[in-house]
Amino acid sequence: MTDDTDTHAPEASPRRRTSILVLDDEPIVCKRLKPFFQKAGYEVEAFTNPAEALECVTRRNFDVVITDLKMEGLDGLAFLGKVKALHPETGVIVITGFATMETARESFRKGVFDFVAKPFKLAEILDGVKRIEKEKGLGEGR
Amino acid sequence: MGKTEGSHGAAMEPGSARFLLRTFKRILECNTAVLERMAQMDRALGGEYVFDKAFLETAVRDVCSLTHRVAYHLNGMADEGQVELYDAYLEIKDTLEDVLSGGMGPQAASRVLPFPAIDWEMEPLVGLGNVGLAVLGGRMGLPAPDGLAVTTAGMAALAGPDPLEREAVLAEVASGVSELFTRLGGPAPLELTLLEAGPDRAGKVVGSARAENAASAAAAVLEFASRIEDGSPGQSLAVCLRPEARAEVLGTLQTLAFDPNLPPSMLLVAHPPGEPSERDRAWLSRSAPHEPLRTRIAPKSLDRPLPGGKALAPAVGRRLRGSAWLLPAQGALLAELGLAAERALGGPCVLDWALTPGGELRLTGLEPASTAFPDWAEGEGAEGEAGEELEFPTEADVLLDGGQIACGGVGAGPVVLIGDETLPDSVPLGAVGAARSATPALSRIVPRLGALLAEVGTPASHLATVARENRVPALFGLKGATELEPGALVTVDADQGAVYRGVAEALLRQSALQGQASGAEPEYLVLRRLLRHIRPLNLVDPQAADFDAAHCRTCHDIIHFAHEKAVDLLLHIDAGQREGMGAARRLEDESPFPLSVVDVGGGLDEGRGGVRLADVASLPLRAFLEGLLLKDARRQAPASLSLGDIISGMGRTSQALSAPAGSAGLNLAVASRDYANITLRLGYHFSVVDALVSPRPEHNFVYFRFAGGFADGDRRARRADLILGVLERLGFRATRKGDLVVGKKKLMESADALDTLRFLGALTAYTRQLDVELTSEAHVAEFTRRFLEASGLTEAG
Repeated sequence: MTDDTDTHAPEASPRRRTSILVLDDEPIVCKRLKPFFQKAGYEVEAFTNPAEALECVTRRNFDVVITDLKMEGLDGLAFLGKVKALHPETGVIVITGFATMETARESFRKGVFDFVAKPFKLAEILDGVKRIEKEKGLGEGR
Repeated sequence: MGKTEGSHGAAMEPGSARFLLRTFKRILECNTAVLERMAQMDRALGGEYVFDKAFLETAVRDVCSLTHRVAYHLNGMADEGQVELYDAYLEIKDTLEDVLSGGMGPQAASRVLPFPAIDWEMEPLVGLGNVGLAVLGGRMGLPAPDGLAVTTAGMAALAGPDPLEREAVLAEVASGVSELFTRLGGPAPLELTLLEAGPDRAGKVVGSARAENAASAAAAVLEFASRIEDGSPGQSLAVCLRPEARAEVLGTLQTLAFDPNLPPSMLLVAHPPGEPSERDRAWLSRSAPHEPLRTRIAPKSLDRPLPGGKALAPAVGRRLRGSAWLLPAQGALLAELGLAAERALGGPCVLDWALTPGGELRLTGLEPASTAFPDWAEGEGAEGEAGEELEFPTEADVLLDGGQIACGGVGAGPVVLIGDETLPDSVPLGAVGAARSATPALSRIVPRLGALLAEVGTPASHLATVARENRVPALFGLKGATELEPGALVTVDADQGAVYRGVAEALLRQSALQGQASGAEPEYLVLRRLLRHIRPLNLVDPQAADFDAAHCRTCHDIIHFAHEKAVDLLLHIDAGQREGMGAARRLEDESPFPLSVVDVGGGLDEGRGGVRLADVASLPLRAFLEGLLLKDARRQAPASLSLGDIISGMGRTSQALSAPAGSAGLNLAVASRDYANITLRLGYHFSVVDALVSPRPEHNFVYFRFAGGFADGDRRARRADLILGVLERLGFRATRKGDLVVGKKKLMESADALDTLRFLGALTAYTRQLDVELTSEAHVAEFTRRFLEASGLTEAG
């Protein structure tokens, strides 16, 4: 599956839209983030079911993954671990309503780029994505 | 926790002044924290924050716990003399927990509700049709009828086995109809619809009937209930009763219509009563001025009269009317009503309307849009005619960007400059209002707007709350808003903090299809229901007979009540209680009245005996005194204030400056470094200033209350009007009841808060005994003008 994913990896092009996967089992979070990022010019897929999100990341690569930590079915830390194993270059932002120093530390150990506590402002998470883009040289001209 | 909070021996005994002051400070801290949490919940409604259910649970837990602590501390101060406050708290807490778990709170038991008592978060209880008409007519001032709803609880009782319950509900219906007739000014034929309600937000109309009076209305409702018995016992049904509109032409407006060959449009259907086959159809653009994109006009005989004019008569510009039942302007007005309904209800809907013989358009009913939009289901189908993808606006289209989200969402329309003096009716429905300042006086205009922009203002302001209540997309603190060209079509995307040139179809389409900006998600509905039991302040007048613990219905009531009572207890500290702490220190500057100051921590510089302005370290007290003692403070007041001239317009006399005998000592300021509570009791008037000024805007507040006066009632009311006018100009959310004026201003920068306090000080001196001079309404205007001019506030208007 990993090889297959690589063939779908985004091509390097200055005009290519940055791709984002959003995973949160609270539908309202997906419902808010998806149109927000779409309007801002991003390609977005949003999932409330961790298994479906996992299936998706095994099929293709995303530039940015935004995931909740506490979800039914699959722990967010486990999900981000799998994402990083499949696509180490993916920038991951963790959102959670139960932020503790321990979970924050654990997230950063697993290669999380940013950590956002709920409730958060749309501008905050956009800022996180933009910093990932800047660091990875994505989404030029935005 | 015991009542003795410290180890300072007798000085910290319950009842001692030190104990009272320390506990008072704790009440203040809790109050501030509750207000802050309330403001955060309120702001979450606006779409600026992304939140989930866990946020709601935490927020409620925090508000409850803090409110409980306030009740606890007050009882500590009052020697357990306010235990009823615990009962009030427990009742509110139970309600909040019920709402969190999906219930409707105390409303759940209501069986019949008049429209004025219905707000849109009650949709599960009364159904979309009732909520829609009640909100559009009552809250938004649109042409929708008054009426009443029989709730799902009422219908369940009618369909249930208990005949006594049934009789009770029928009696409530009959009485509700009688009250409706009273509100309408007399009996009228009624229209009844049976509609689906319940938490799934169905809202479909499943039956209709007519009634001539209260008895036949009750009979029709009973007949509706029998359908529950017959067919679907688990079904949640409600009934909507309202006066029947006399119609020359009637029809429907579907606010979002799908046609593969058209961009998203609105479908308008019109026909004479009883002749549905004679229907005209028009697909109107969803963007102002709502041009018809396609029309299908029913053939009519040449001699068929048309309401409001003749066929082929000139209508708008060079266009001819044709033989349509409606004039183009009427179609456009219906389109705007439809968009207003969409904003209010959070998604596409179908409106029933009637054109009266007098030529007025009236909304008569409301249903959810029944058409599914599979092609657009994901909202990604931003495709225009011929299927090309519609582009989202780019940076080249941006006219303005920045500001803060007061209410999320997307709206488009012509720019209209608005200010405090703008009359609501002069603002076209659906316009984009651009204001210099987000003042509370603009609240009346908000329901008419498609979007709202303000150069000065914050998401924490009262106007922002009003925008959220009405779901009008709004950006505050947006520089250049009033420089937009009046009449130019613009699109406001509040979520992105941008104003685009022209009508951005792709944005509007995405917003309409996903409804993401409308706050119709379950979490938003729950949040709104929660706030109903947290935020409103019902107990505003401490002199009123019902100002007691038993009448606290919200968390805000409890903390406000506790604050007032705590201040009262402090004011009555007697010499015996002062053991162990510094006595009140008398202000020695030349003041309009004697004033004593009690320092509760960093409020005054070290020292004993009399105190001068220079000794006051409390930021809010010092600012207030600078305004009050303007003569002495002139040299120290910031030059930018230009307050000096106020004195010359005050017309104070030495007589006015002297306090009546016996009142000295009742004027007390309790002050710490960042807080002041100033209570002035001058025998004939009573005012309270309560303020917190810190580096954190979200903590800051200024509260002002003014009442009393020894002139006759008219003159006192005139002075109250003057104060009300000035407070509104200062950005207060202010209300007047008789001669009581209450104003609140919250969440502002410290510099703004201090300026406000200086103005309040000056206003207090200025209005002292002014009621004696206010012999006519003209005087109010003149004195207000003089005060505002002198203080430089007229520029804001």
